Amino acid sequence: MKVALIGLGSVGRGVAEMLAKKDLGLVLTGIADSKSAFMDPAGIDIARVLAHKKKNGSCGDQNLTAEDIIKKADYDALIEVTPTNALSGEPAIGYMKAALNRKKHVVTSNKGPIALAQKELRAMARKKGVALRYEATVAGAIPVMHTLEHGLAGNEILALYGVLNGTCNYILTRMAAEGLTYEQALLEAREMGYAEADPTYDVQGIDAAIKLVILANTIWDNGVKLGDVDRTGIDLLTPDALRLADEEGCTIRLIAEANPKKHLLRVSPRILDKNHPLVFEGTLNALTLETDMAKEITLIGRGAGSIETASAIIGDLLYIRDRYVERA
Amino acid sequence: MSPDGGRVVHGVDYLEKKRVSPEPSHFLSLLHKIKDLSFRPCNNEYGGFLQVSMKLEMKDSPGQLVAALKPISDVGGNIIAVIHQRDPDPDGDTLNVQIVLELPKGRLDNLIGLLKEQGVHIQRIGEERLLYQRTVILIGHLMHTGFSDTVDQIDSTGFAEVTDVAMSMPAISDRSSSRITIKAVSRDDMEAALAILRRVARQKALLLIEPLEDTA
Ligand SMILES: NC(=O)c1ccc[n+]([C@@H]2O[C@H](COP(=O)([O-])OP(=O)(O)OC[C@H]3O[C@@H](n4cnc5c(N)ncnc54)[C@H](OP(=O)(O)O)[C@@H]3O)[C@@H](O)[C@H]2O)c1
Repeated sequence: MKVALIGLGSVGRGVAEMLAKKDLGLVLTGIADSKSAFMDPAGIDIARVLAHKKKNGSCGDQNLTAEDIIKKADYDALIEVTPTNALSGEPAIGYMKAALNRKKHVVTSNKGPIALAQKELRAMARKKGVALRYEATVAGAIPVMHTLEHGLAGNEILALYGVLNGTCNYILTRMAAEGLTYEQALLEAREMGYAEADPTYDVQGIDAAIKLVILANTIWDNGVKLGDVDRTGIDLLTPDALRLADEEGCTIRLIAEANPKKHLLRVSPRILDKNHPLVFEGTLNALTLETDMAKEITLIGRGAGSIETASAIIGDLLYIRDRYVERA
Repeated sequence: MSPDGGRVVHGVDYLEKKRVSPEPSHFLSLLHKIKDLSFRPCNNEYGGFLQVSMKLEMKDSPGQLVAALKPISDVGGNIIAVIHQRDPDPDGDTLNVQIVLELPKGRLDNLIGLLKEQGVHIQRIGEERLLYQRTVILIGHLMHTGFSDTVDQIDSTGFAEVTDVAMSMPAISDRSSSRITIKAVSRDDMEAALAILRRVARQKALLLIEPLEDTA
């Protein structure tokens, strides 16, 4: 199966490296970053492109753009891993539509388009007879979508709750363990590379809320939007609050939860018993699904990272290959 | 809760049929169950009832347990659960049971008298009017915004009460943090109390941190 890769940052590089390293039967025929692009229907020499990107900051020909690749290159599936724009979803939504219009499958880690235009994009993919898959948008490496789609097929999902932001989990872990203030723990998270220069998205619960919206629309198709999420971040927490929780054998975690019967769609810091399955240290993510048949299922794993996120993308690509492409 | 192994049982008949001597570790887990039991959902007529847990010691002879528990129904009470433990001491002529029961308000003294007449020794007794408990944390300018008023808003409901407060106040201008334990008679009452607290927190610009309950 031929694939084209748009975006060559942390995630894109992870995907490219794994395509080069593993014999997955996936051939890279197009690649683009923000400034340049490159295509070769016979298959791109990934090592060379990555070396070029490292040295020059661009991956290919400055006269070519991502759009050229999407519209002209010879590929079966588009891998869209450009930055998330939570307000407009662009340019990724445009990229995805262009690929779907050409009857190309789309795999993405980009939360913006899936939170904003999931319904439209899914309908478009259905109409064109291709797949739109976005495992990597929620909880990184954890196969949430595959679990919902296959492992829990036939189950009614009654509710879900989880830890969907590793940065917040890290900050809360450090505040509890060392009695750090929020500001100190944030500073440390930045030094460790777990927090962005502008941490607003993470610490105010926006990132977790976007993932919650993606999950809710995927499971219940209920058209909820980011603005529907009742959202409280962790930036106003005090070390005293964590200590008061600790005295009771509890701690505080940022929990995203959805329960359509209770009209609940919420991201907020919550008190949890330290033995609760959603209490763990560091940057991990986890999600508990409550279903009618299987009852509770909790998945836990890495919520971000270059190779970890590539894992989710490759899982989607191989699913498409087995399901659509090899058969054809 | 299940009557498996006769450890936690409903009713006296069943009890007499199945006598078991749980190991100490078992007994701990039983105590745990009793704790859960006291938080079981209850109906509205509960307002007139009092829930009580008692630890009783009596002579271990046939029929003694049934006789000992008879006064409970005599005063119009119901046995919710009985935890039954043979005395671990070697002579083994006494029987220890822990019971949870509900009875109409005002009948407790009556019951205690009747139990004594039966030769039952009451080792411990605990009243539990408020059955549901939740602990929340409030952060913000708790004093400036009238902390006693915040607590009052719960206490004045009549169906929920703030039973414990732990407070930490750094510098006067800094935000303080408090841990508040609320008890209520039923799950619905607890929800109503939390709804009040949410509203008050919003009005006073306080950050309210609630426990995560299993939602479905
Ligand atoms: N990092 C993670 O662990 C993780 C996990 C889950 C999901 N995600 C999501 O995955 C996506 C990629 O994340 P990342 O960490 O790899 O981001 P990143 O390191 O910032 O990389 C973004 C890449 O997209 C390219 N790009 C930017 N604008 C573009 C445009 N208009 N057209 C074509 N390419 C463009 C950039 O080009 P230049 O190289 O020229 O700047 C860069 O190569 C984001 O949506 C993110 O939210 C990330």
